[in-house]
Amino acid sequence: MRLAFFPGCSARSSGMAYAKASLELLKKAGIEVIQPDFNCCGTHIVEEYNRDVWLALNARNLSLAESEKADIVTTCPACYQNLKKAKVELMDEEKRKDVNGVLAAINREYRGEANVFHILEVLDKFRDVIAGCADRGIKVAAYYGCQILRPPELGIDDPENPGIFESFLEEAGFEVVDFRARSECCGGTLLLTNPEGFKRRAREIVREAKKAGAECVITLCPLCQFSLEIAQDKVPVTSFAELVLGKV
Amino acid sequence: MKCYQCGTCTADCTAASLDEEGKFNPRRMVLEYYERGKVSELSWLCANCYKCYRCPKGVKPYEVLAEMREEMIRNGKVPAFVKAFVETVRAYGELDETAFFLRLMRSGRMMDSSIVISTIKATLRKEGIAGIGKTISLPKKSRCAKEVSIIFSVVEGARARGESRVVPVAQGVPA
Repeated sequence: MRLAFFPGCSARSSGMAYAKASLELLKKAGIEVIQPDFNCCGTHIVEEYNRDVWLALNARNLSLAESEKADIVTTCPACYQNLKKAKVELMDEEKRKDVNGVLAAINREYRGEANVFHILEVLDKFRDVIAGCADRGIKVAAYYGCQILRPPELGIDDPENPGIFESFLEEAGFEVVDFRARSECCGGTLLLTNPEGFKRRAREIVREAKKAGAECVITLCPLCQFSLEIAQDKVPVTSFAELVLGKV
Repeated sequence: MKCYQCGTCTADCTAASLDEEGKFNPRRMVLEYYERGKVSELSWLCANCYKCYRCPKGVKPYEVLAEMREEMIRNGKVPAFVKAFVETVRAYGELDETAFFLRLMRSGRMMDSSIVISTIKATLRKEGIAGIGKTISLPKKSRCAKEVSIIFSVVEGARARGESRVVPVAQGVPA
């Protein structure tokens, strides 16, 4: 299996530890990992600024992976969602023709051969790597956040009743608590537009986890991780990759 | 209009739950947009959490609010954080977090009370080590920055000339 690791913009700063731990886990799973010269996925901000730029940015990333005959794996649910959304849009012949008109300026071509996965989806297929690695009895809250599940046509699991994260962590040996805020928004996207609301929301999530009996909140999104970490210091928050890496 | 004003979107909405004054109301925003073309500046407060996907009529309020923001951008009403975000990606090829926050701070249009400002200021004071236990690197352009800026200029150039699509012309950048 050959995968192109899409680090996302946070991997060079706030999400560095999650990205590094994820790369290590992929290697432990025996996956061949390459790191092409990917650009920003644009997020909904560039998409709303100029849809054609957004589509071309994502088409460039997808074309980089396909020219290496690899699928894309990323740690960031926003990058995952943008790449996948672009891939769906580019099934349209006209849009593909237009985007290739743009990519011609940088001597690239989009063909639509590469798939897009979130790191949890990939590692879930290699459970033997993490099986039984945790000390029994540690109570954790598995926190999905938004974009890994919604909108449902792009998400990796049932948005109303997901289970992939819990069962992965249980396989590792953690005790996963019943956490009703698991797919609520961390407020991270409000950091710039409504900082007070952001803080309130992030603290609510952590409070819910604590109420559910968790000793630790486990994230799968670098922005959720950042949000829950800077908004409070009462409950430890860590990405699942960092949590298990030292044990496998 | 498909929307039958049930308010499911508003009950589920993250931004509405954080607005004690009750001004952020996607049910009303969708109605006013469809009936009168009213574009609400409040749409910038949408958390993009997609909770409103549960709409029983398939309206996708998150897309309606995105349309409003697009319309404002097209009319030149571009918020400082959008400008800073887009310009950082254009120049660096990726959203270099440090460059982005510096740009925002220099635009002087961010609230001083913002948790972001204090975080970043603390970060810079500590010579690259954030007070929150996070590493923040110095701004650095990605290798892909040149290709990204070409994508921007090719698309924006075509749009400025009123062309509906880009005519393929290789510009000699090695693939």
